[in-house]
Amino acid sequence: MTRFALAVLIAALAVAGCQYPRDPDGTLNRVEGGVMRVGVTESDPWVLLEGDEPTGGAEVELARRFARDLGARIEWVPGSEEELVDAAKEGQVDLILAGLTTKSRWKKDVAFTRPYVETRSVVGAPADRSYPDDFAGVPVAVELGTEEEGLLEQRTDARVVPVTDLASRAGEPAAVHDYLLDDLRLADSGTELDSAEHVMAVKLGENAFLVRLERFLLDREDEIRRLLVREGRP
Amino acid sequence: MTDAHPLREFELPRELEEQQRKAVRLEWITLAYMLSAVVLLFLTLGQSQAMKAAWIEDLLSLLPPTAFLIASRLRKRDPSEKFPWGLHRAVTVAYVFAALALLVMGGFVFIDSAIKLVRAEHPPIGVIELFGEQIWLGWLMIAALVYSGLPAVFLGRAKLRLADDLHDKVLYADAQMNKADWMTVSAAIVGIIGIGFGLWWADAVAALFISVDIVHDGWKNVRAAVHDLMDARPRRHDAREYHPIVERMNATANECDWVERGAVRLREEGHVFTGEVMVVPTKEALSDSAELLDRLEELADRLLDLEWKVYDIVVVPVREIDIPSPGLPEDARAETAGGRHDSSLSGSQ
Repeated sequence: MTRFALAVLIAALAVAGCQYPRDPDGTLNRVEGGVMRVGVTESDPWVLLEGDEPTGGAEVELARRFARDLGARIEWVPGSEEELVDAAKEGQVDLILAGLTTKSRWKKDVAFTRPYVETRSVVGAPADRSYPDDFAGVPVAVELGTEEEGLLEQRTDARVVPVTDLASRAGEPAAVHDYLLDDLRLADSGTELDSAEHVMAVKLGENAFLVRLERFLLDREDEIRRLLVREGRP
Repeated sequence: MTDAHPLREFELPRELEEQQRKAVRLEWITLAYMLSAVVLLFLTLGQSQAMKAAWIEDLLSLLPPTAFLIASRLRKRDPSEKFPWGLHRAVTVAYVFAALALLVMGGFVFIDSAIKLVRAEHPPIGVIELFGEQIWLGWLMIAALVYSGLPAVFLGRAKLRLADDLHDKVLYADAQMNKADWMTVSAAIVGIIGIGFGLWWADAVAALFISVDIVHDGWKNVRAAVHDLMDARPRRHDAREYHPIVERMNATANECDWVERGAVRLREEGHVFTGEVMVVPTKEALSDSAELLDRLEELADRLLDLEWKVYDIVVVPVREIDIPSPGLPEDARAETAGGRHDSSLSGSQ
């Protein structure tokens, strides 16, 4: 008993003195004032790529701000999710941006941050009109070939209208992400199709870096929402 | 052939019934406490494998108290047509479960930590927001672990004392479970602090050492429990040595002047011992069968008075003794037909 009370005490003293928790591979120390290698995979509206360079996206913008915070220069590493996860495992990528959620299959291979924003897919409808609860027979637009298209079919009795561009039907009922509602002149009808908690990923065990990133993200919830509305605009 | 067949009114002596009630109360507290720890650990689990192990251990440590409480309800039931010997053995069955839980827990911790080391798993521990404060999840995990482990120390000590009084093996195994619990908890805490210092292997190594100890305890108890079910010669509750009662009963039986030879065979049924006493009466004693009956009954009463754990014995007059029995006087044993006395079975293990 006394032995581990002592261990706790030593730990507490150590925290007062220096960085805690620390990285086994020293990611945070290397990145601060140095280079942060950020793996990116196209994922609208989180990561938008043109060639090998990101042109925008909510996560890209957050990573830029985080780098500024650390005094780091970003080196972008484009790749598929699997490529990036494997690279992170080997310590070749410090941060992965891929529109990941807590439901991601890579849960055991990389360390996820705490969810920094939650998005929902809802059926949006014009605020001034009323519809039956299950939208029976109502034509509801949905982006072609998305998860929402399937969910809309399953969960409601709506007449599913697959479209390639939601903006062309602004003001008509549509299954959309909650951050798009205002732009499409719609209000949340209360029918939720899905929800997702978004995360970024770092190498497993690099806890100082993880904690620094999480603190950065947790402090900026409102900012992230605004960013999402801007970047998500169709 | 006649037999005397006395039965005790209570399974435990009155003064021990009080201890038994204390033990039951203690186990209820343990159960309630462990359940709350299970919930708390589940909430702070996160992505950490170390915490998951601690959680599974806590789940396993629910088993011995549960087994104890169920057995303590059943053990006193009167013999019925279906269970002619009563349900004393419920305690032995509970002991099997408690011992297995201990062994499985030790094995689990061992394999889990070995895998962690081989795979070089680096556990991620991030930040959590609690009441508007951002706290490193590691501190929260340590708090949850201390909550789940600290009381185990006191509960375990109290149970050990009661197990000594009651000669209760289930309670004894559960006390060892509590000991295993706080040891793995302190390993997990050292591990989390180590992870904080960037030593990813810290908790796996600590847990590996401790698991060896738990496996050893578990194995010892499983062995003892299986021996009990095999009607092996009764041992003390901590399994360290044989219970001295068989020798004492043999001595008492052979002291009687009307007994040529006597041999005792006891088995454990939970808290209590049952068995047979075989006696070869002298020629004079055989001449008066009414008196022989009295003598058999009187011997049974004397033997029952030796020790509260001897609950139900049958004294049988026989022509010759063909069972092995420890502690028989030398001359009696030498003449015992088929009384193969296995010297490896006597004395302490």
